[in-house]
Amino acid sequence: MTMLAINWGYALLVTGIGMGTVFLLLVILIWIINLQTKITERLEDQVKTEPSVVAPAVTTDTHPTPHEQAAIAMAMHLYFDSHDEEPHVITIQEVERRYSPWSSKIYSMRNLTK
Amino acid sequence: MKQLKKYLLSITALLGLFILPFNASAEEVDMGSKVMKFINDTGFAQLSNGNWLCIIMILVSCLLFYLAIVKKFEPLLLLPIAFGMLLTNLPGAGLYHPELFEGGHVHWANFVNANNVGLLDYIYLGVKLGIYPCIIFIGVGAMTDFGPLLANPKSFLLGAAAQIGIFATFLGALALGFTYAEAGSIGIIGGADGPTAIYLTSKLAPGLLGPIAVAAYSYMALVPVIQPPIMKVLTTQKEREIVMQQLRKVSKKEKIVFPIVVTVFVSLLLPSAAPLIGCLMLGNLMRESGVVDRLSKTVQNELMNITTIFLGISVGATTTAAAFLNLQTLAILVIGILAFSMGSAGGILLAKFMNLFTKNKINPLIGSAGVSAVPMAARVSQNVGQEANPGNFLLMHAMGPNVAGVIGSAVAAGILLSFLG
Repeated sequence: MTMLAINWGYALLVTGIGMGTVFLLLVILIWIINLQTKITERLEDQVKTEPSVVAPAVTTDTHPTPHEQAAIAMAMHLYFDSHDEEPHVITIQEVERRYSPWSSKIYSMRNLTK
Repeated sequence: MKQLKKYLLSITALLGLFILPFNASAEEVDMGSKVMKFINDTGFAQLSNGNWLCIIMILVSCLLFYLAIVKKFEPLLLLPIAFGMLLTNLPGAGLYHPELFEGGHVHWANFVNANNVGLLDYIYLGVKLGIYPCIIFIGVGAMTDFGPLLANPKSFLLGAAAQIGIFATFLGALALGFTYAEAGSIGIIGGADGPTAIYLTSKLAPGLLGPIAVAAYSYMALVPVIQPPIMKVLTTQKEREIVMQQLRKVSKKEKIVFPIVVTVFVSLLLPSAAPLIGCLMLGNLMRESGVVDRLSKTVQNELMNITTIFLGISVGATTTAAAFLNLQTLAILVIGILAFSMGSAGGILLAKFMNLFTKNKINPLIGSAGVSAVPMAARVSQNVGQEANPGNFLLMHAMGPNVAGVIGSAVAAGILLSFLG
């Protein structure tokens, strides 16, 4: 009786369309992935095949490069034979920390039983 | 004598101090009825008042504890489910009230009175509103590498074929007398995808959520037991020995573009699948883009773990004695295993069929991984393949259909939702 009460036409339609859509959608995704792969490969090939002519370094930047700066500094150092004068006084600034259980070393150590 | 007198007097005074307040309140309330009410309110008294079915459910939850803790069958989900089952079946605890969700709707008006709402009612809202499965899917996406699928897109077909279990079971459940919505929810067990099963069932047949979730997760845990015999019956020794071609390397660009393309395309074609596919692909984009490492790690670990606890415990809460102990549950468990087996067989058979036309042969064992029990099904393909040929490594090849199965089952759920919802 239950079998007869069911609209089998509708049930088969849902099954057919359902399975068909799953397949269709995933087949289209295969096509999209293949297309995406081809495009990516073509772009990569283009980058590879482009002539590797290095353009002449034209720059409007008048600042010396780090290498030039280092060379200038070295030259000046050698020329003036100078270096910083130091007072030779050692100072130790005492840092006072207030006690807090959050920063206490005691609480962060494990007291293992012997 | 004098000391004894003094001692007795002090005792009398102390007793008076303690007893007097009770005597005073005894005038206002009836102590006897209060004590009787307390005794009647205990769970033990309620068990003796015809709630003996709860004892069976508590025993079922103990069985699930055993499977999760001793046998280690999907313990991450089975343990919270079992505990939710235990909590909901404790008489008098009032942690879950099915009447708040009767007829598939949330009766928000009843949530106003906090005395009638239990803790699990609030947690269950996440399932009812379809939040937890989607969050889990973000985590799944962040943990999934679609590389093997992109390297071998034909895997999509195997993932699609494995969905035959869903639709065949839908027809089978209809024949057994379930309604369209119930049959669709039972069919989704064949997809072997827990969050998808919970999401669809909470929308179509919330009354069956408990049995369907228990069946789906139990069978997913039993993949290494269920699948190998089916794989061996449907393939020859020669087919199992097929060594597949090495997969190509997939670029980062492809991996980044893929989740965006799939989300747009699938959501435009099938809007009802958008929540699941969108969340899956969001998680994957977080992983592949490499710019949100913190978010990716969070969704893979903390967020997913927290959601798993809530999902498990609230799904377990739906397994009340009235909802679980009936012939329907038994039927669901039987149909569920058939759905699962048919899904596995569907993938294997399509792989064999494809071998008739393709130059590069496919090992049919990877077809069974089309059911989306990630990565368990792929591991089973690897193990069965190595039994036949110890030098054969099928794991990465099987991961293709495996992740295709996740997409396929989400799409199938979307279709069922749009037709039957």
